[in-house]
Amino acid sequence: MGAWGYIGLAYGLAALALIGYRWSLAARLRKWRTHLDRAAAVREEVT
Amino acid sequence: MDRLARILGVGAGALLAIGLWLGLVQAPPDAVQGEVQRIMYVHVPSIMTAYLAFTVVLVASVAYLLRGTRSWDRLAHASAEVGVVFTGITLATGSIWGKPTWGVWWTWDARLTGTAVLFLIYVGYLMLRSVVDDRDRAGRYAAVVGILGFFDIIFTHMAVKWFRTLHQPSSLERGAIDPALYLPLMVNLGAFVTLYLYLLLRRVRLVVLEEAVEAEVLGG
Repeated sequence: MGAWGYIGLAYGLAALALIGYRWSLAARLRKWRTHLDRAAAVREEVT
Repeated sequence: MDRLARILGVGAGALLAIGLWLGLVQAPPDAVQGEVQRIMYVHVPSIMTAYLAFTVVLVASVAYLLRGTRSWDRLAHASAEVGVVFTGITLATGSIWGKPTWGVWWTWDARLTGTAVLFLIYVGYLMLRSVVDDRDRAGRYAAVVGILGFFDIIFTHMAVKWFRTLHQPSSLERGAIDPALYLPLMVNLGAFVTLYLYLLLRRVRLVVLEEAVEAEVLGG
């Protein structure tokens, strides 16, 4: 592998890790927000 | 806090784009290592950002043990997770840089071993938090690990001075690298720190939501 192959691999892996982590944070935030919104809606319906 | 996070996110994206251009296009190749040295523009900013993240863990952990305020524990938890991501990037990019430079993907050099141990300490920190059910108790135990773990940063950073290592000395010291390489490095460092602040705010928000859900479940 040439120098640019190693550079591409390093930058590619770093980008993948950062995008992956950002995506995981967004997914978890969405999940808990939805959960809390639904709980609030149910509470409102009951009262 | 959401608005600030959005501003930081956009700022980090813009700085990363400029940093990429400076590092991959504008900066000249290194006189000794050639083109492959461009990996430095990701590798060095990621470990410096990890050091910053774990320093925040240290400060927040001490503050949590002294005051017992939940927000300090949230900050420590969030910063540790983001720090682990940046340490992982450091290990991966360092290994890729090592192969064409040293001829090996990995060697048990003091700096490399210290960084690997750093990664394991904070993965352990996160695992500890997840196995202890009581949030306050988990926070106290984790704070002790967060404080002790910081000593490995000192060891790892100083390892290139204390031991005969294969790893090169710090690139950030005055005169260590040519100014033509230093500016792109600083821009990328700024980009990574901004990205860290953005991810930290998002992760703190997530801890707040997790606690709200826990309160909802326990209260309901």
